[in-house]
Formats: sequence, C-alpha cells, structure tokens
Amino acid sequence: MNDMRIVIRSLRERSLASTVTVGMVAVAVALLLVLLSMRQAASDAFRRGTGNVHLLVSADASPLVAVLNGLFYANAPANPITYAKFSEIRDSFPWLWAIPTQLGDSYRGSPVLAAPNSFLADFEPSAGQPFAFARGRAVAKEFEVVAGSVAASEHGLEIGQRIAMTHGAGAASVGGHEHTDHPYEVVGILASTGSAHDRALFTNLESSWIIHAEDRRERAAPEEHDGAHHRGHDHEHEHVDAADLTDEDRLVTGILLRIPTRPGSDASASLASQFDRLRRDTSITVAQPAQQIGRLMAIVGDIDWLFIAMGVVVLASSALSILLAMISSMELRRRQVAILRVLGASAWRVFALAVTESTAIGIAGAVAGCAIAIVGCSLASTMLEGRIGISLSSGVDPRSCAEVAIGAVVLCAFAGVIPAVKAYRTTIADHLRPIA
Amino acid sequence: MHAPSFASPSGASGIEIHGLEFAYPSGFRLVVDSLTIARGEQVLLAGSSGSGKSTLLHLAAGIERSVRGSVFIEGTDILALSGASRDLFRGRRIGMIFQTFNLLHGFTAIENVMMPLMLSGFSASEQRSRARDALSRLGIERHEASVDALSVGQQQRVAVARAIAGGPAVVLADEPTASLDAVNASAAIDLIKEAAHNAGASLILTSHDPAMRSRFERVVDVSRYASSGATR
Repeated sequence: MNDMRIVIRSLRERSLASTVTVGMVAVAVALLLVLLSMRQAASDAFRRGTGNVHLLVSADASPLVAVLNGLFYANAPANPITYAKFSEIRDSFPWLWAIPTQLGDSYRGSPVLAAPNSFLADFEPSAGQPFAFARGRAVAKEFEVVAGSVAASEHGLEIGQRIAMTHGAGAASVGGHEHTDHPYEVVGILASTGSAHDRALFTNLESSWIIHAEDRRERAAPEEHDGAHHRGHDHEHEHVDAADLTDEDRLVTGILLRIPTRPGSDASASLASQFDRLRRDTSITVAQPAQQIGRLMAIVGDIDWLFIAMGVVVLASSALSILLAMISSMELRRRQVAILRVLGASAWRVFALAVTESTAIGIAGAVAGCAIAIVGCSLASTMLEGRIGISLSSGVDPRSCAEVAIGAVVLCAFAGVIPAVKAYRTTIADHLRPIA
Repeated sequence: MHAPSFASPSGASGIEIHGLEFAYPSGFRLVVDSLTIARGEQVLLAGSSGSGKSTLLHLAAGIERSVRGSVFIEGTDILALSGASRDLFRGRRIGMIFQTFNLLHGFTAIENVMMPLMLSGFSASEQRSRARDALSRLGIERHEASVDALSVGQQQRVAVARAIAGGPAVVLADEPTASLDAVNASAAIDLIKEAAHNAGASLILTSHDPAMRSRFERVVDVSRYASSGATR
C-alpha cells in the first residue's frame, strides 16, 4: 500500500469520469501537437517545393500566383510568354540554367508540365535533392511522358502505358478536350520527392506545342470541321510536327532561373540586381519563390496561430473539466478524506493526494495525447503524401511534445489545487457520522 | 514525537483526561475535570443519544479540538501536538471503530487494514504481514476481496482488524452496535473486547444501549460531563 495506489484506486472508483477526463486532456494535447506539427510541416513542404530556383518568370497577375501556379500546380497560367521572350531573358545574363516550362494540360486531374529534360536534370524540388527515376528513363522524343510518384500510383501508370492528356488543368480539365489523337507513352516514373511535383507528369515542350498547334490550326479552319470541341476527337487533325512549329506555337507559361553561386551556397549577390532588372519589364511577372513562400507562410501563420490558440483553449477547458470533476467527486469523497485523516493522514497528505490525482490525470492524458499525435501525424503524412504529394517528414517535434506534455501536466496539477484545498479543509468529525 | 512537555502526570495510564472543555456553537458544553482509564482497561461510555459520547471520543482521538484541557495517551498530550503530529500519533497509537465501519470502498479488505499502517510509516512488508495476521485472527480469509463484496459481519471484522493491526495503545469504538440486533450486537461486543484485549489496548466504547452496561466492568455516564444548551 502506498499513496500512488490510493490515487489509482480513487481514479478507478470513478473510472468513467476519469477516462473521459483523461480523454479530454489527450485530445487537447494531440490537437495542439498536430497543429504545431502541421504548421511546421506545411512550411517545410512549401519551402521544399520551391527547390533550387532563384527566380520564376511568368505572365501571371502576381508573384505569389506565379509561384503557386508554376511550382505548386495550383492552376494553369492563363497568359503565355513567347519563346522569343524566354530567349531574350535566357541570353540577358549568364544564368546557371534557364528552363522554360509550359503548364496547360492534365491527365485525369494531374497537371502535365512540359519542359526540356534539363528540368528533371537541373531543377531540384528540394535543394540538394534532385529528381530520381524509380523506373524507366527520361523523355527522349515527342509524346513520351514521365510520371511523378503520386500521379503514377494514383492513376496506376506503368511503363509502356499509353495515355491521353486533357486540355486544361485541375477543375478546368473536367469534361475538357482530350488529345486522343496524340497518346503519350509512359517512359519513366519518378521517385517520391515529398513535394507538389510528385503529383505532376512531365513531357517535353515540343509535344505540348504540337498538339496545341494542331488545335489552333483546326480552330483557324472551322469550315473543315463541325466547329465544336468535343471529347475524343475521331476526326483527322492537320498533322504538325516539330519542324512545322512557328513562334506563335512556341509559347511557355513559366521560366525557371538559377544564378551561379559558390559551391555549397544558395545565395548570390546578383540575385537582387537581376530581380530588379527583370521587374522593370512590365510584360512579365518576376518572383523570388523562397520569398513568396515566406510571405505566404506569414499570412497563413496568422491563421494557424488562431488554431493553436484554439488548441490552448481546449487544453484549458480540459483542465477546467478536471477541476469540476474533482470538485464534484470531492463532495462525494469527503467521508473518504475524513477516514484517511482518522487513520493517520495529515491534512497536507490528503492535499497532496488530491493534487497527485489531478497530476496523474494530466500525465495519462499527456502521454495518450502524444501517442495520438505521433500516430495521427504519421497517418496524415501518409495520406497527404499519397494524395497531394506533400511530405510531412518533420512528424511530431520531440521538443514540442515535451513542452506541450509538461504544460498539460502543470495545468492539470493546478486544476487539482482547489479540490485539494477542499480536501485539506475537510472537517473530520462532521463526515464520520452515519449517513441518515 | 513524544515531547517532554506533553508528559502525563502519572505516565502509567492508558488515557488521562484533565480539565477538558469543549463547546459547540449551539451552546452544548462538555467539561471533563478528570477521567483516567488504565492501560488495558475496557470502559463503556454510556448516555442517551446526543449526550456527548461521540464528541468525547473524538476529543480523545484528537479529531475535535477542545477549548482547553489535555488528553494524555501513553504520556503524550494529543491535543498539544501540532496537526500533522497529532494525525500521525492517532494513526500509530489509536485504533478507531465506527458504527458504519467507515471502510474505504473500492479497496480490498487487506488494503483497508494496511491503510493506517502505511500512513503510520510501516514498511510495505510489515504492513502486509500485520494486516494478514489481524484479518486471520478475526476470521477473515478473503483478504483480497473488495470490502463491498463482504457481508456486513465480515465488514465489521475488517473494521476491527484495521483498528488493532498497528498494535494501538487505545481502541475507540463509536456506537459499533447501534445498527445491529441484540444477538449480533452481543457478538460484536465480544469481538471488539477480545480484539482489544489481545492487542493489549485500552478500550473505550460508546453505546446508548442500556443492555451494554452489563458487559463492562466500568461504565462512565457521559451525561454528567454535559451541560445545557442544545444536546449533541
């Protein structure tokens, strides 16, 4: 027999109330930890997605939209940039690399990015971690496609499979025009990068240019057709190949730029000056992706502090419920306290027993909450990586776990003080008399 | 724990009460000029309901605080001890038995008996061996049964075992037979008297039942210590 056994027996006597209270603390702790983890993970995932790009050029309305469209595939950019403009920008500075991209088609909702092979070779979705092939190879000729890991698993893509792209991206592609006359062959599947790029498929610019050139020429000669776009063309297109492409066909929606840096460094003194120089061209939008994501996280940060505040309120309300549950049970347990006093327990000892009881609830709740958070984050990570390609690799930070758990235990211990004072003040004689 | 200033005038008695005065806000007063109970003596505190029997017992146990006076148990003035010391002394040297037993529900029989031993600082092994011994002596075999699963008679035996397990100097029994019929009351008195005797403890037992007077060699009528106002 020891004091801890008295506390455990007391909790077991009120097993339902104890379980509910422990559950409330656990939920509050888990909620707080998951919010903290998600906040960090989302920040990490966004920063990872921008990779090693220094500047992104597009014709989008704002730099943030340019980044969300160009690197996170939020929407297909509405306004193109001519290849001549790309060439002008490429030749205006000794970039380490300049990669033109075109986003406009999709496969069953997954975005299709058209870009030269240098995109998969030079662009690193997470700085220092280039793309890698899980199976297959890079695009070697027109109408070949490489699938990101999530896109491949989501659509069950295999090497050698032939697929038809749809005009438009995201929701805009639903019910859209399918390029069935130009099926793509899947030639490679990428390993997971933990970024939004895992959701995409990659082909070369010429493939995209050719099918859009054919569409454009078809629209320009409507008398040859019924004039309407419809799903699954079964009519003859005017055949176009790479040699037939004109400047009007060679359109891009984004340009990824990287400035040469010293080995081991991502910073460049030229970045600010090149950024300012390009911004003077009002026909394009220039973004520093890392900076834009920083701004986005600052905006989102204000919102997630609100969620964290809600988590703290839930935790405080759990402590309040412990307080109320213990005050309520203390009224019923006055006799037990009086008996313990008669048997030799000092007033301070019953005070300590009451505080220990609430602390035990706090410890049990904190441990359960941490376990729920770890499992929950793991499940959420698996789900998010599988569905949207965002990897929450950071999981539950052990330091956050310790801080939240300690906070919960301290809060619960304080919640036990008022019932403990009631126990301390229990008059023995009054509560030993037979119950009428 | 036994401070010299608390020493009993005689030092040989089980309990010595001197100049004890207690008052309830209702006006009920209890004044005991002198009452000495020898070591091992068994005394019945008699009196009608509300005459102050339980109050005197609670004063003797240090549960109620007197206005003035002293209660010496084995030479220690329990009323002069500080709160925590008084609680500890009560746990170690005083065994208490109540009308409704006041067992701790949710605990087993042996845990109920071990409780005062734990609170008095006995080692875990000593707690268990003393509790087993006390329960066995009183005929309780289901040591690990919850007290809620025991019969009323068995619960009373557990209560008696709890009172004597620590080897108390005094056993205070507050109306232990009040809710029992005559046959069971007689058996309960026998049980408590024998247990206190075997433990070498003085016994003070309160009862409003006149039939109990014949069971004790010494009977103290508490009514003579009580005075006016409302009764208790």
